[in-house]
Amino acid sequence: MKRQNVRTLSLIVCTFTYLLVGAAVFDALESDFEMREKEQLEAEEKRLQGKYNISEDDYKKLETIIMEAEPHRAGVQWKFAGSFYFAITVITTIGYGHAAPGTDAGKAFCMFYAVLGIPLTLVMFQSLGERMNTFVKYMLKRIKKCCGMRITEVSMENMVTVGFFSCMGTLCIGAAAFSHYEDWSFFQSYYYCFITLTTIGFGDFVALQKNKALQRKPLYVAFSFMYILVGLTVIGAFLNLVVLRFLTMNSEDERRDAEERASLAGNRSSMIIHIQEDTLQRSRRRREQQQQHYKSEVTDLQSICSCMHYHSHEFGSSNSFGSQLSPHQYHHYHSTVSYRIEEISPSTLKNSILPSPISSVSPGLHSFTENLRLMRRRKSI
Amino acid sequence: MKRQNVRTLALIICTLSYLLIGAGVFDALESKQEKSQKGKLDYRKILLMHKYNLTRLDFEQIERVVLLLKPHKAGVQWKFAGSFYFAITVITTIGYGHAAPSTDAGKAFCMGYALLGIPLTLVMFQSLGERINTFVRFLLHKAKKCMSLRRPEVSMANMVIIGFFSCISTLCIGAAAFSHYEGWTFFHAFYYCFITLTTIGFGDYVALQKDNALQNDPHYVAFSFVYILMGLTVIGAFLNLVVLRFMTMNTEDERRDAEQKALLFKDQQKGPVTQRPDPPSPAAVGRDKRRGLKSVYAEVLHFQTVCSCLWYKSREKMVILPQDLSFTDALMEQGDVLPHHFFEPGPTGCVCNPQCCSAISTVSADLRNISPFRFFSKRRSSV
Repeated sequence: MKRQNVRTLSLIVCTFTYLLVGAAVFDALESDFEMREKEQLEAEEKRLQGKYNISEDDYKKLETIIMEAEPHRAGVQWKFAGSFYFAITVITTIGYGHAAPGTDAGKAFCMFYAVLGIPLTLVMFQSLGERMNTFVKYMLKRIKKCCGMRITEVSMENMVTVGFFSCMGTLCIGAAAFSHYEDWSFFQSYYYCFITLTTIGFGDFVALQKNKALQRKPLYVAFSFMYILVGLTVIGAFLNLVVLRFLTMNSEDERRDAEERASLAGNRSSMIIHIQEDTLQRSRRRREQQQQHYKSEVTDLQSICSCMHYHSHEFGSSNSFGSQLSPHQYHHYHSTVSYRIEEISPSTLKNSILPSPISSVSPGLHSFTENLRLMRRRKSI
Repeated sequence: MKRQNVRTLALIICTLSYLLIGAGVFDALESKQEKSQKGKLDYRKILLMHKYNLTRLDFEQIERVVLLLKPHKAGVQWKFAGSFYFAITVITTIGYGHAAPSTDAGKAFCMGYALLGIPLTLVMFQSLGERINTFVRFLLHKAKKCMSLRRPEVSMANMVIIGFFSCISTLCIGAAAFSHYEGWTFFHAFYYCFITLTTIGFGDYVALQKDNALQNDPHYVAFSFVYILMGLTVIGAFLNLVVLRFMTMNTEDERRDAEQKALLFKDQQKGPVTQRPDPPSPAAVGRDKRRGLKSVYAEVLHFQTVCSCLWYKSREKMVILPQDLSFTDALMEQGDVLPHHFFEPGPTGCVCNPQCCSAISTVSADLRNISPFRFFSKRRSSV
């Protein structure tokens, strides 16, 4: 079965298993507590109802009032600061739910707002995250040079380590700040930061909901917003570094398969020239054989083209075409050509016969013969 | 300034403005209603407090109990079905909050669970989404062939339209189902499906919370879970089609820059090459001239129309060479070029667009047609 299908199927199976395992563990951890808490609270409820002699109907009314008034307890939610907070929770998909649009118009606008805002935010965080990674790579390289290390290249492990520690650092800083301002324990604060920055956003802990902070403490409000956005960038950078390549794996495989199919399907009398810029760039990240195989294929192509250009140029140097290329360009391409030819790996020479061998060679182009041999072996073109 | 930096700055500014505009609109839409609702609730509260002679402290006691009982009123939340529901909301990052771990151990496990589960789920949905896109493309191509349309290739626009309509219908199906089962209006159910499938997950509307459905109604429970997971796949497929390429743009530009640098560096090492850096290929210059996401998209679509494109790829980049008329003329003088080769439809039936480009489509075995290679090799520098 195709690699992409195997990959997809195994991912589905993995995810389902993961869900089942998670469900079982949560059940084990929380069920007992839930039962006990429920009994306690119901007993308390009965006691209070009895104490104040509240009738059933009235108690239900009271319940409804209290539940509906819940968001209001935390302060004014929809003035500008609160709306900004809400907008952040929408486009970053955190979605606490501490405040949710009450009007139908608000709900409708919320949906349109999300449709445009979520992709924009996704792309923005990935873009900024990539810039951050590049900068960190650069800084790390400089530091390595300064420290006088022998190997100054920044490896993937270095980047992952740095990324991981910056994520941890971000979470800890947030935990410290919010535990101070919101009066939560450090662990609860850390849990809040984690749930926020992974955009899960339960809403069991929400910042800026105590003591009318949204209206009264602009500095704290600004800090919270900055923290959420910067924290999401750091997490986004880490995801960009580690996870993004996996998101495009199927597409790349599909492209490569199509490539191979197309080149095999090329008919005898034509050669399809095709450079996969993306694949050339991306193939760097693939497994060894494919990397080299593909790169050498493309490099072959380049070498053939440059080679033929160079030689035909040699041949036609006396004609008007020859004069179009100035001498240093000539040299440049010459050196490009020789560079490229060096890169042809032995595997390409072992490849099966070219489906469209060059049948005729113009009399003057003697030097083509060796290139012809090379071309005959380039199965994929 | 480098293209990636410009792009990143522009995105940041866009997002911040978007937030400001959103805040303004939400303020305008919701503030008044919030105030009036609060007033009404306060009034009713005071009425009841007077009726039963409740002090503020008394009331706050009752309030605390009622709020804590809220999740319990909705049913047992942490038996297996409820936990499974919760696990889904964690790893898909929906996070309703209708049930949240109360114990510290539960919180800690939740964090570890999310750490592994979220990337797994992201990759899974993108993987499955890509498979779905490929399958849809295949079906569409077959359908076009069957209807014997002249051009059976599936364009990006086709895919986007189909993706969009599948998203809308997924939302509508869910809205119909949930409005029936949960007793919500169609609009509220649609809003619920939307908020769920975009993984925002406010929690103002949550399925499976009425009449202890989690324990009593296994079919409805199964339907809800399947709906959420399938809906997320459809949305994921659409994102994979439309948004994913933009998330990798910076990385690709960075790679291309690095390659160019490496190329220049190696060339300089090789021979007595004079000074001047390789003139940017017309392809690269053309790219620079056209800025913005729209141009990238146009580029992608443009490449597709080039001859010898493989009909079902949507984002490869081929070497596009702007037509160099003088060059062609010179060649034609020598009788080296059979001009129709530039315009002939390739083997797959695509038709070149001669005004914008003259990509190398086919080269016959006959060496006389090497001349296109000259185009090609001359402009290779950007790869």
